[in-house]
Amino acid sequence: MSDEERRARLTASISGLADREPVVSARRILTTPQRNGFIGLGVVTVLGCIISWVVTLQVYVTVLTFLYVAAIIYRLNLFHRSSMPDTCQVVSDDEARAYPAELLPVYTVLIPAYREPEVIRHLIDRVTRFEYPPDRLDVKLLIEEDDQATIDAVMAARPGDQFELVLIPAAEPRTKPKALNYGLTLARGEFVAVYDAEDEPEPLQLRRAVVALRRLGPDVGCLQAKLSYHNPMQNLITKWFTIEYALWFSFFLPGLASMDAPIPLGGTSNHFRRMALQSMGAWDPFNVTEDADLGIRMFREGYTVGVLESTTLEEANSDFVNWMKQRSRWLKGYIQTFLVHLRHPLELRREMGLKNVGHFCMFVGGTPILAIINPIFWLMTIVWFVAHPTFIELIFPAPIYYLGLASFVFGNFLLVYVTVMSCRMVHRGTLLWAALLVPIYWVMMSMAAIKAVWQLAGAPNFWEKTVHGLHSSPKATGAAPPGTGPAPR
Amino acid sequence: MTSVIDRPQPGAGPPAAAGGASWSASRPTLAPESRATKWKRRVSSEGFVVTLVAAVGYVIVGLLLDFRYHSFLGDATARTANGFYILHSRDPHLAAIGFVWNPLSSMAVLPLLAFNTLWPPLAANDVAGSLVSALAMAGAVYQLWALVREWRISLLPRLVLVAVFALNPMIIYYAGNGMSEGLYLFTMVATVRYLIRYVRHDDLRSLVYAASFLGLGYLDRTEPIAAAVLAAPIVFGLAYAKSDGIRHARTMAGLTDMTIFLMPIVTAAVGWAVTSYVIVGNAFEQLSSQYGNSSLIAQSGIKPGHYGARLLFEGKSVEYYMPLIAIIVVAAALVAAYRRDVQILVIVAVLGGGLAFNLVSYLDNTIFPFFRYFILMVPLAVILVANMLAVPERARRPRSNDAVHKAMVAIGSAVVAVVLLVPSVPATAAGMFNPNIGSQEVQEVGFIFAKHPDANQLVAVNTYKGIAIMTRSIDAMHLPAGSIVVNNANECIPDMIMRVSDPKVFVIPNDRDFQRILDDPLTFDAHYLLVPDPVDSPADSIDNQYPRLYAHGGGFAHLVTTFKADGSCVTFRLYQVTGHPLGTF
Repeated sequence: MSDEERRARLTASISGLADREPVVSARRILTTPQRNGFIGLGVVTVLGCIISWVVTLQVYVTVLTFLYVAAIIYRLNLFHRSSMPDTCQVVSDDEARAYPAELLPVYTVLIPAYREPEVIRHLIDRVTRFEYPPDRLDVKLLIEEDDQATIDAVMAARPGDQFELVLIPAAEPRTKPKALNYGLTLARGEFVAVYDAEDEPEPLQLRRAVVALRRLGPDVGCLQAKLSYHNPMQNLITKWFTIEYALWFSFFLPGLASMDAPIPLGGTSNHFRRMALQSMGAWDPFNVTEDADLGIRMFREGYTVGVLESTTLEEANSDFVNWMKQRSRWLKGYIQTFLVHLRHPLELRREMGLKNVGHFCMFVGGTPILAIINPIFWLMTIVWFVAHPTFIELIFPAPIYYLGLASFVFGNFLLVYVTVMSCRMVHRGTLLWAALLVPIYWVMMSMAAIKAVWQLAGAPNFWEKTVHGLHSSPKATGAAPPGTGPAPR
Repeated sequence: MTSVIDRPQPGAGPPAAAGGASWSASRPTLAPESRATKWKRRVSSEGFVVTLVAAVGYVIVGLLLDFRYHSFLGDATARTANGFYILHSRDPHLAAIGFVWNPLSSMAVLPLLAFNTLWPPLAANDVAGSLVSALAMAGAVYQLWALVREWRISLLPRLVLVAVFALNPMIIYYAGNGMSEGLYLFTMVATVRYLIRYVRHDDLRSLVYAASFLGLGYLDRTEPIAAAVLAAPIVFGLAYAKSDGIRHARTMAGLTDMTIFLMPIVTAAVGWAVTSYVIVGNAFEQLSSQYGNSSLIAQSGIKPGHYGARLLFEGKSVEYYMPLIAIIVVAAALVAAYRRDVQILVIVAVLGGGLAFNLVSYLDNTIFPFFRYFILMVPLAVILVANMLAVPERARRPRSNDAVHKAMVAIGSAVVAVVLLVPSVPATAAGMFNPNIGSQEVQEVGFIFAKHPDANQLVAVNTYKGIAIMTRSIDAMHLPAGSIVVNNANECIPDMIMRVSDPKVFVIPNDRDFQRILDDPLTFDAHYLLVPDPVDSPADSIDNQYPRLYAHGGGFAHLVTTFKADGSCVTFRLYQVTGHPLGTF
């Protein structure tokens, strides 16, 4: 490829969506009307406090309490709805293998990797083991051109011909969606799959995806495979992570799907129709949770997302600092997605329907907002129980106080209860203690949410890279598994 | 789109698949019905009709007790009053509910009492209480019916079983009188029903429902704790047995199910205790308070009698409820053993557990010898018989579809049910109207069926009269709010507070400024003190603070009226405050 061509592809990857449809791009965090709205709110609050800080705080407390109650009712409804039988695309092993090889299309597999020399070898191994004719595989290893360590590791692994090493010209923003977009410009396949460098997809997954996508209508733009962890019991954090996924796949996803609600995608094991993906402008390189954003945008364009009965094993984060980076990025991305899609609420309503706008707000917006509100309520409750300061009596009018207290007690009980239930649903009773301790996890979430807001203000497109390969570090297992290479930095 | 099977098959992919089970037992998906057809189907269904008939019947009973016979159990009106104080007392606030008794009955009447100004009989005639207990008991009837149907018992025996429960005289009376038994039976029967579903289908949803009803039951009565303690190991054992893998994994599976079962009731217990601690400074007010059961018994001066006598009383009460209980228990046990059926353990643990709690408490002398404490006998016996008649999941012989055979089974089952259970109806009635057994019931409804009622049977009538006299006197005084200080823990006082035209006239311990006012009533414009005879009411806080008040005014008040004791009301004296009590100024 000539330099000029590379520049052109790079520009398309970064600015494509932003130029085509600036209104859904996260290049700007806040549009002018949004920013003015926030400033206006701030001014009104200050004025209100000057006139009567008691009433102003009462208003805020009342609104927050109602939000809290709404969130609890919403989650209750999701759990109730999730009792519908599982609706998943099932393709049996025989069915997948019986599909004639001549009919299999070219399948593009995009694998972005940044500073992952340790794991890239394993990934190359696993992709090589895909039960798919290699001459019809179009695997693109997407690596930044200045990431010499990873490039060296790839060369050392000596991958087969189905692999193509794509070097992305160094440019900001250095994010996964930008890399994906770049790779997409070179894609040849009818279908596109996305994997992370540390994933372990099940070998028949591509075949299953082909069978399922071909038998479904064109309005199904994407299939999401199921995700799980290969190190669930490593430590408390991985247990919490596993529980989270259990909650998501046992309750939230079936609940949302049963109500035909927009579904935020998971960041890996997505199987797209390439034409559908490209017609939407592909990923938003400025959004740090490009998967969630894509799921919403797909929904707005009229596509549905199905779930594929095939599992990809991922690595659950086992280190606190690493977890914090990853989680704050996710929450930052959720806030970005929330702000972006609410820029033209009337248009959103027209495209999605009022009910789905509600789902979008409760889920995409609610997750980070609740994570931030929670510590405030916790703190106030503890202070109240210990000291009974008059301050709190003043800002909580009596009915709101009782409503808040009841929803606080009941809501938190309910969330812990559902967490314990989900252990049962995935047949992992060994996660019980972690489930009962999950309020500590929520405290961690709140810390991550605060960090997310901080970063949003300061460095909105900064992508904090999660370190992978921690499960195989000598510290964790006591002995280095063969071929691990140097310990992660 | 196809459904995924509930359990991951061995060898079908990675063992830790995060997706998978839906949480109800897998049901075949039917063609979607329109809402109208769904509604029509529900309304014309047998269950709906049975419940409706029960509800209407019980409400009628309640209204008869409230308006025709004026028969009110003090505990029932007290619970309604606790809800009443939250809304209509002089100092309306949520904590006015009090923490001596479990809150559910009082909270359940709250929505109705909000309309009290529109229709005063809601509180004054305890219609609110009657409505709640009637509907709750109808709910219990429904749950029983549903359980019997899930056991695939055919129509005739099914109706017999439900009728024997619904028409038991104690059930009828406690459906209409506003006591906590309605909600208690509803939650306990529901718990049994859903636990049995869990035993049969091993599904999470049934376990969660059972656990939730048990937790709800605790908010009404304390007995469900015993049911929880006895049933939890069964849940553990079942989950352990049904799981596979290494022992540690199976233990954890058992613990997980047990945790799911216990979490609601533990949260309810801890939550209520914490709330009680924060607001009145005592976490277990119901156990230790001077108004709690243990203290009331000590104060009542009733000599407990020796152990043997108490045991005899219990045995007799049980017999009066269910004369053939011994046969029922033995027969049910034998059938269950033959079928290797675990469900009977659930029945015994939940209903037997609740019953045992009271049996032991009475032997321990911490509760009164009330016939109603053994009311669980009724659902226990009925459900044990139903369990015997239930169609086993896997019949040993293939079920014949021959209509004659089916009819014979139906008739045979109905006969068994009739023979074993119908005698309980007249027997319970006999117990109710036996003054040594149904001590409360004789006093409250004895006069209804007696040609020449004696004094004991007329207690309810006299109580009503006594309250009416007090109410009329106080109304006639036309006092402003906050004029009369009284301790509403005394019997008859809550009734009066709900019947006077202005309940705010009274200053009661639920008011946050009660103590301040009692210390120096005159300064706070409380010109009257209403005090009971300390001999009969040793726990009255006003009497305790001013020991010489009742006898001759304590030096700062003079006597206005004496309300003579009548029925369950003790003698009250209304004193007008003329000065400041010694030690204040």
